[in-house]
Amino acid sequence: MQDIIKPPVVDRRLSIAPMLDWTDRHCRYFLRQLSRHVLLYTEMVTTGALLHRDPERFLDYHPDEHPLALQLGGSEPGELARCTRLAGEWDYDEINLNVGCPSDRVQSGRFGACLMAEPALVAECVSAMRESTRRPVTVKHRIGIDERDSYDELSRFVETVADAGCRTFIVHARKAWLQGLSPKENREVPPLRHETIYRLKADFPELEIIINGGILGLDEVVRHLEQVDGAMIGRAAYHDPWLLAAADRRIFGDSAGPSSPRAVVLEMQSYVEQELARGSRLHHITRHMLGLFQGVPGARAWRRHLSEQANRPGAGWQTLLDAMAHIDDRSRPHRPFLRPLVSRKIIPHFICDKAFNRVTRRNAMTLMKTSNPWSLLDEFNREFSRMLPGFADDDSRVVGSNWAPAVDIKEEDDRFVIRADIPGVSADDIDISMEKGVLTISGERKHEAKEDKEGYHRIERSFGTFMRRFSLPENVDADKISASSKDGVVEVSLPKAVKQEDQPKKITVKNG
Amino acid sequence: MSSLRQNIDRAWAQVQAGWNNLVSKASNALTHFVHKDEEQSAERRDLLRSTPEWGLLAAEVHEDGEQVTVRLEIPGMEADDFDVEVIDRTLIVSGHKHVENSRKEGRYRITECAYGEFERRMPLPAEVDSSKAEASYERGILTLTLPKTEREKVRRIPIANG
Ligand SMILES: Cc1cc2nc3c(=O)[nH]c(=O)nc-3n(C[C@H](O)[C@H](O)[C@H](O)COP(=O)(O)O)c2cc1C
Repeated sequence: MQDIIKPPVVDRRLSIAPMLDWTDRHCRYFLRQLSRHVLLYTEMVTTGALLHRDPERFLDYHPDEHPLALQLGGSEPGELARCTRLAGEWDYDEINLNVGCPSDRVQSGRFGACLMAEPALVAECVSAMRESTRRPVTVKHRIGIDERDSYDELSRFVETVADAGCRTFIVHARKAWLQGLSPKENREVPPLRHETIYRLKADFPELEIIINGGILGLDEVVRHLEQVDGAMIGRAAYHDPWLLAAADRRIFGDSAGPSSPRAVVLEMQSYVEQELARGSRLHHITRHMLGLFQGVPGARAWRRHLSEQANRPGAGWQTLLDAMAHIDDRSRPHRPFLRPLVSRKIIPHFICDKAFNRVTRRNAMTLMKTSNPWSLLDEFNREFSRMLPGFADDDSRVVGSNWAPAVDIKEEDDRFVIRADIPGVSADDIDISMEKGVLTISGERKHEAKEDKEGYHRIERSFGTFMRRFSLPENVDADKISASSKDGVVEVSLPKAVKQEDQPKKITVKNG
Repeated sequence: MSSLRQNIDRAWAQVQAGWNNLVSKASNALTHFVHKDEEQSAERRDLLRSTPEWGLLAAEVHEDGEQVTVRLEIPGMEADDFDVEVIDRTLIVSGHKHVENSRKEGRYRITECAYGEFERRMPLPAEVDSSKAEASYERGILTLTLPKTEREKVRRIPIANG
């Protein structure tokens, strides 16, 4: 009987992570405007909260939020079963068990990452949950906890829980330290190990394996999808929600997707008005929308306006429109200025005190345990991406190039100027080309040495091919691009014009 | 409480050690650029404020029987902007990298290059005669040729195989 009507299959190629205090229903409704298909998760709800208080408060949602999964926190099979039945009544598409949040073990309600040490108990929980629903029951966990972080232990965990019938595992590619680190530090300090999850998929091909942790954009999602069944993005999607705009097209093969961040805001109108009428405060909705205009001129004023005004009595739809009036996106594409397509991911070429301080302080605890300073390098790279405007979302490496020059980009009234540091390369060895709106600066640095190969005491320089690419704004006149080079600095001048040329074009570098 | 303190102190010590290790292995080239608030135009002051305070001055040190050769990648300078000194087998290269004089006002959108005053110190593998040192600056690379002192040349007689 049970199997006659099967619930629809949940598509997990891309999902948004459950995040306490962040992915509440307002946030989810907003994110839904950016992608029709991305799977959304609720914040974690503990069995205690659900069974002993009014479940409506935790379970109600807007019907447009589907596909939607409920995440439960708990470790008592009977209670989890009851909560799972509630989830069925509320028509959630999936019920997920949290085995990833590092919570204090002393607390009486045990849940989260500490359960990784007890696979048999998790298996029991999963069985009890599965018996209470026909919908998929999934588990979100870490790759390990404390010293128990071997691959063997991880695969034993997955095997035991899979034996209880769990088919889908969402794995955060970090282990968790149950003591000594705050939950926030536990999301940042332990190093990311995506390879571990790839290996898990290779060893359990019949299971659905979803990768999570540190994924910054759709390019990375596409890459992960070659190895695993799905990817889950947390913080990046919250801070820069517009990155989801292309998800329906790029991940789910659907032509849908919002046309601009502005259009997303306008889509929110009836929801905002209904919610305000029900007694919600504007701020509770708009606090999730602050990152929408990331990278667009006026974004800061938008954020400030909302932060200051949305909390006031009487704040309403007009407040949102007023905030949006600060945005200067007319007649420009979403990314209005010239911007590098590829970040330089080699050892930091530029470094800030701030990045150093933040990274080391954050790593103090890990270092105490591992004393491996090399993992810091990764952290640095990430810190830079965060601290440097325009870098956060370009993370792809240029395959086959050895190094990448640092650049300054300036916009003047009538042109853009790119200045790139390319010391030790003659103009003849530099290639600048322009095709389909992408400007590429590339070439090769050869060693000028006349000396013998031995005798080097110090080599910090990089040699070989280099490349850097830039997306051009539409108003650049491709025919008038010129370049010159002096003292190791190449200057490319890109005059603005009305029309844009699509012909491949080669630019010669003048020697200065 | 005091053990927590100790742990944190120890962690910091290790961070320092780790950092030093990292610096010495991978990032010797990391150089601090000090911003002096002397720039005249508002645009240039703005630019300075947004530029990173650290830049990489990648170097290369080569030694043979006669001399030590040092190359330093530091594009966008004038030859006069450098100061080179040798004190006790330590080479000190300092200078001031100025923000490019631009013909027009504008807004900087991306700033990855570092500007300002910098100083880079490098231990030399041998004693050199700084009075005979030569420097050239071409394509953004500073090349220093530092002849060894007679004493060094004598001391470093290669041992023949056999
Ligand atoms: C503010 C915040 C709250 C979180 N709350 C939960 C939670 O309730 N349940 C859970 O399983 N994970 C929670 N997480 C972890 C995320 O689901 C995710 O695993 C983690 O942030 C790593 O993914 P990311 O690097 O893409 O952000 C939370 C993360 C953040 C930043």
